[in-house]
Amino acid sequence: MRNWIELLSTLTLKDIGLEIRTKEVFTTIILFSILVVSTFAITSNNTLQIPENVGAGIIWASVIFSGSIAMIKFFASEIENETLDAMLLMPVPRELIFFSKLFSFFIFLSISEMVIFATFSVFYNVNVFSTDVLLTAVIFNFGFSSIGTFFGTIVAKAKSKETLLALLIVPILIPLAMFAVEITSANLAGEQSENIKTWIGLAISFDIIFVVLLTFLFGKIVEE
Amino acid sequence: MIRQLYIVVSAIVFLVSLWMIFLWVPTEINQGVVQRILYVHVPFAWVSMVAIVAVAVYSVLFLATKNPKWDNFAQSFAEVGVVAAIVMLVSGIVWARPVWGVFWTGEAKLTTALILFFIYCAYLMFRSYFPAGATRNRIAAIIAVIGAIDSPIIYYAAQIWQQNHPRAVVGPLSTQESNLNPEMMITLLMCVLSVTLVFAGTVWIQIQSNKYHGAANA
Repeated sequence: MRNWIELLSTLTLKDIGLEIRTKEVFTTIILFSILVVSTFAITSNNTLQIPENVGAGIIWASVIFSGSIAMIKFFASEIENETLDAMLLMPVPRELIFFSKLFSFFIFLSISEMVIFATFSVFYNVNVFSTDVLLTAVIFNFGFSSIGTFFGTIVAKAKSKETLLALLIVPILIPLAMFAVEITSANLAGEQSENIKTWIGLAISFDIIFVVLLTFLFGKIVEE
Repeated sequence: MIRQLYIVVSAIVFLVSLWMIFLWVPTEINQGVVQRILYVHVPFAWVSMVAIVAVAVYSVLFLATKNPKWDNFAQSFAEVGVVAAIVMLVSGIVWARPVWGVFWTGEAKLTTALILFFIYCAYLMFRSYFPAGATRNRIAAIIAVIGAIDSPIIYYAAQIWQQNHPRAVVGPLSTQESNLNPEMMITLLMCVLSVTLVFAGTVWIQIQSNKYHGAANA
């Protein structure tokens, strides 16, 4: 068990070290999201009049699309240098490789989101940061990272990766996106969502189901 | 012989159902002529849902047995099912505008149908973008299974979502229960039968086509 934790942290730190050097994932998520958020801010005459649910939709749609593009970058170097295949040859359970990728992307996504929230707060003159939204971000990021890691591995060798990955990730993430938009829009309106407990229950169940399922299936997709 | 008989029976049932829709069945009082879209929308909704279940079932069978026959079945159902889903979605949108007052609402069934349509588009796109072979077939089956597992969660989420975002519309029939009279029910059942026969025939042709296509590529 201790060895597994050491291996997991080594693999995760390897990804973080690589990202600190290349900064590809951070740059993609942060720049793309800021571009989306600021484009909406510039093209709407008055950002103060944007309804809360539209504002929340802008935040989470930009996170989902920038995150799926960043996921391609996240796997690009592994595929180009054939290091993913090398990792799969290591005498470690495949689940550990899946979890290390999941945790690394979770960390990148969470840090990037803080920048996106801050940018949105500035452009739209609202405070996105609250306990509810931060908790939502953690639950959302965990689900997104697990689904993104799984499908990122799948499409790494396919043509038109960007389109295919977005088409695979976005429909499956819809329940989590609904949850995130619901909690964030209530927060932007200065309230708390009426169904917050139901939503959190649903989102956590979604995370658990998909992490368990995808961990099991990850071994099957990298069999060859 | 059986094939010819099937084509003849399907053609007769299809022509009879067209006659029933346009000439025999009475016009609904509240909605008027537009209600006849029901006889297209419901049968296509039915076959697209059958297709989705079939894709999931055959994908599980393929993963369990590794028999390429089941993968071919899953692919063929997905290809025909996606076309049926497009007809269902477009006919639903055209029907909703005069009856509900909007083209689209966040209703749970609509949301789930649309998301499932996207998932199965992704399934087919993956099959064409990934290098052909056993790995592609296995991963495609996994995508179909994930889509099937996600659908009840999407439906549940859309239902909670709807509680806070009630239907934007309200058309003349919004508060009334739809009661079909016997003639309408018979016409609807005839249309369901006719579309099911055409659908099953198309899936069969697609299975044969994919089988020969696969054999030619092997």
